[in-house]
Amino acid sequence: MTAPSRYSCQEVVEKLDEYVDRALTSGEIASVEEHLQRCAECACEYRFESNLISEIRAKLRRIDLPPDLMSRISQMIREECDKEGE
Amino acid sequence: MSETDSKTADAAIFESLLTPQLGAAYGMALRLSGNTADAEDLVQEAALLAFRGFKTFELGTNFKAWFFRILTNAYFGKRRREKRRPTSVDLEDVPERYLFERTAEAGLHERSNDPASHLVSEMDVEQVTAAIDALPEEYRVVSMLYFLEDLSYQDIAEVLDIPVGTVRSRLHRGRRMLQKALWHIAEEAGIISKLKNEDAAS
Ligand SMILES: [Zn+2]
Repeated sequence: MTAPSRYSCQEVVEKLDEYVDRALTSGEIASVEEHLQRCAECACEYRFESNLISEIRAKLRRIDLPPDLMSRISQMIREECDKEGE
Repeated sequence: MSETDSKTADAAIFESLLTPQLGAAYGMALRLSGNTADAEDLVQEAALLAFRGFKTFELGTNFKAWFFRILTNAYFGKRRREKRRPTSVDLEDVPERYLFERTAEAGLHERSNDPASHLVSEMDVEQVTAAIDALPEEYRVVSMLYFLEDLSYQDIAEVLDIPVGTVRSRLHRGRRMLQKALWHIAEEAGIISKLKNEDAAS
């Protein structure tokens, strides 16, 4: 197995979003992780970005679905079927 | 099987696919339109459009992405008639690590081991939504899909009918813009000074 290529802080900062989103290749992931192990500043920045996203998500996802919305949609679809059946 | 019977069978399949996605779809509609009445209208309109076009959906493919595409298009159709209000924050060329640097400068890193969550948890949903709303439309919609749903870049690309690379770059820039907008809103609302004082007092 070859050792991951060593990234600079700048390279890591640029790839951090995609690392958080698990959108990197396995080679890139290895390189980012190798850097995060030896650079406290980037590791701190990674935790910051990742926590920020989780917190925004948690906040925005608290939504109450109107309880009768699906039944209204079902009703609408039944009417649509009847209309076309005529 | 008569035409009505096959329609009814389609309706049953359609509803079984829609039901598990309805919460997500309504959430997206609510965050996009900003109020419950418009969100309900938007979801109902999208559901009817989707049912009418259900023949074009291939069973076994991603229903969620397919339905969200219809939903966002229905939203864009309505939205085109309205003018979006410009925001007071300049979101051009926001540097990397924007919020990290601002919170560090404000001394929030020494006092909290999770300053990002600490800051956002002090903001209410309306303030966080307002920050996303401050983004230019093409960044705003990508960001909404990103924050509200566990959609991959590929799924977001499919929903919006844009290349994956565009999703990637809009999300990257959009996140920097959002950080600046969040900071600006938190500052205006007195949250930053509250956090500083709170920390100094403890
Ligand atoms: Zn580093």
